[in-house]
Amino acid sequence: MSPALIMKLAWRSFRRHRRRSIITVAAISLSLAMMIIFVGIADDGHARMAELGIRMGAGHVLVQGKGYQAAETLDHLVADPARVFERVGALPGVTDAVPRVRTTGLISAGEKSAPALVSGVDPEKEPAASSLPDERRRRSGAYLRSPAQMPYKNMPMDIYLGHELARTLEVEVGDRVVLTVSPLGAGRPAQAAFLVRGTFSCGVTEVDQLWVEIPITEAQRLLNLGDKVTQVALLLDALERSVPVARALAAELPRDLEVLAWEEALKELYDAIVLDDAGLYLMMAIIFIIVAIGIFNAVLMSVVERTREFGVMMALGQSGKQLFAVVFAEAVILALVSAALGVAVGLGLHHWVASVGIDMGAMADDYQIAGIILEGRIYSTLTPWVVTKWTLVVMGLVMVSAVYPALRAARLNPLEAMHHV
Amino acid sequence: MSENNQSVIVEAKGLEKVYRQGALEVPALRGVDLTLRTGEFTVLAGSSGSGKTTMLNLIGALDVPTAGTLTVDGQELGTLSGKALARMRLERIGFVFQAYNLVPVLTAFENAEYVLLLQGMPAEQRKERVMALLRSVGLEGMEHRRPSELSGGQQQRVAVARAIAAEPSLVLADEPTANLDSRTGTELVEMMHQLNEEQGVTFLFSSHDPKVIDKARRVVELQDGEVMSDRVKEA
Repeated sequence: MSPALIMKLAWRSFRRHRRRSIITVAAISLSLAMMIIFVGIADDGHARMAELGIRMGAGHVLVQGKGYQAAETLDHLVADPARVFERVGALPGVTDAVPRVRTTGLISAGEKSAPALVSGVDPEKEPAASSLPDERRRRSGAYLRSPAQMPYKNMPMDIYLGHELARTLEVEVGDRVVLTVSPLGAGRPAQAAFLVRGTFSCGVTEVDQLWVEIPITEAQRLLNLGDKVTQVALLLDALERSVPVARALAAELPRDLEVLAWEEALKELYDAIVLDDAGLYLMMAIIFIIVAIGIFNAVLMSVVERTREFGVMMALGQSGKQLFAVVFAEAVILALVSAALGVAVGLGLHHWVASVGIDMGAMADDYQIAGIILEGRIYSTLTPWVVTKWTLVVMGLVMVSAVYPALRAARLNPLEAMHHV
Repeated sequence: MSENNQSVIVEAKGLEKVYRQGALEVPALRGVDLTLRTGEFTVLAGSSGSGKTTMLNLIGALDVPTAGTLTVDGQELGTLSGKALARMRLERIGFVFQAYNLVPVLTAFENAEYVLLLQGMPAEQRKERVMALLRSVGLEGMEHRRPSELSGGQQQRVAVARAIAAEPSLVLADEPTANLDSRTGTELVEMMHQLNEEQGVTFLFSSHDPKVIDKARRVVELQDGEVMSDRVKEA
């Protein structure tokens, strides 16, 4: 039996019960379209959240002293940051690399004091790597100046802090605060005065309550680090480059350094995104199972209705294998038609959401992952692979659903089948 | 054509068929002996339940006997696998069913062509053969009609064309006129008789229709699963 005859029989049988075929195609294509647009929106939202997390004081890739990620102490430093910058420059996709010194401390103003997460940054480079210096995050004042930009010598350096922390300390721009930190080694706590240069609000309560930024040179001086830093943060031109870049860099750098992609560095955020994806897939899996039962039922009904017809075909000499091929070919046609329609509808919705976007303002409280609140509009982001993958999954589901009905047709006894009522 | 010049196409010896319905055994054939030769136009006559259809099903390789031997076109059917039986039906036996049993999604041409397609005959040859067949059964100009667009008689003509398309050794027709009015039934029997006379197609009918019995050259009468009489009419 030629493939042309198999497809001819299958196509005509597919068209025989138009209403049933239309309903089945509609159910499958709608599920695929939903999957495409939901994945597009979720991927876009997750990418935006990851970027927000990355731009909130982390980076796509972090180079740190080995063990820093676990211990977060000054015992694990990048001893030769210049060497790291030299290696990083040769890597494709790296747009910026910034040095940072991170520690904890106590910040006080008059009678008020509070714990602080201190980040020593390069005031000129940091705005390219972090969103905290952005004007849209700023609540008051301005961002840090480098020591060279200070109007006169020996004046206190700038400090930039979360607006919740400023409120706790009851300080405003221009006020003086004192920062106390524990320097490297067993020395006495080090203190320095700073002038509040500006405050920010990023929406993440912990950051707004604890975060302070000071010039890195001042942090190194206070902590007695010399030229050492706690991390070098790399910014990349694409989120998905993080793992390959981290691997390439790890192979080139000394073993006393650890190189972490954002997925490891911001594990809580990454795990939350994975969990959110899992929730979406679980929901779609339930929808797909319901659709698969519908497909199974439609194909089985079609086979049962044609039992006599199949009996005649077998009586004429058609083998069970050929009959299996005819029924399975119907499922292939069902899958192809549904996939074409589903992809068309899904991509149509994707283009609409990708151009207009969905305003997250109204549901911002509901859409936050690991403390990161997605603001503004979210769009849909799709890659050809994502569309291909889910299309193949749905087509596979249709075909798997048709296996039992096709086997049932193939195993018919021609004589019994011809007498089927 | 003398009987000696005709080769044996069907040989049944002591053929028995028992249907089991739970613990109950219902004998349908009880030791039937029957020999058919090529070119015959024979009818298995008898009332309902006499075993006509069972006999046709066994000869048509659609069922297997409970006892006895059955050889069709030189093949002992009891020794063949399911796949070989399907091959046998495809290449050597044509069927005409009481209820026409055309494939509803195929046109008259495609139904007649069906067995040739299964056999893998080249397209040109197939088209030529099917058009000639449809002409010979009086359906020229109706090739593109679906079964639902044809009358009962026309559908049965398509079924006959399908049955003889692959030039089988034997055509089995199970009550072919049962669903037709008497005029259409007569025309169909005439047409099959003509095919037998002109093209030498071997027909074995099961029928209790007098039109078919009158036209048959040999009448084998069955009763309660046994051959009651085997009568060859004078030419």
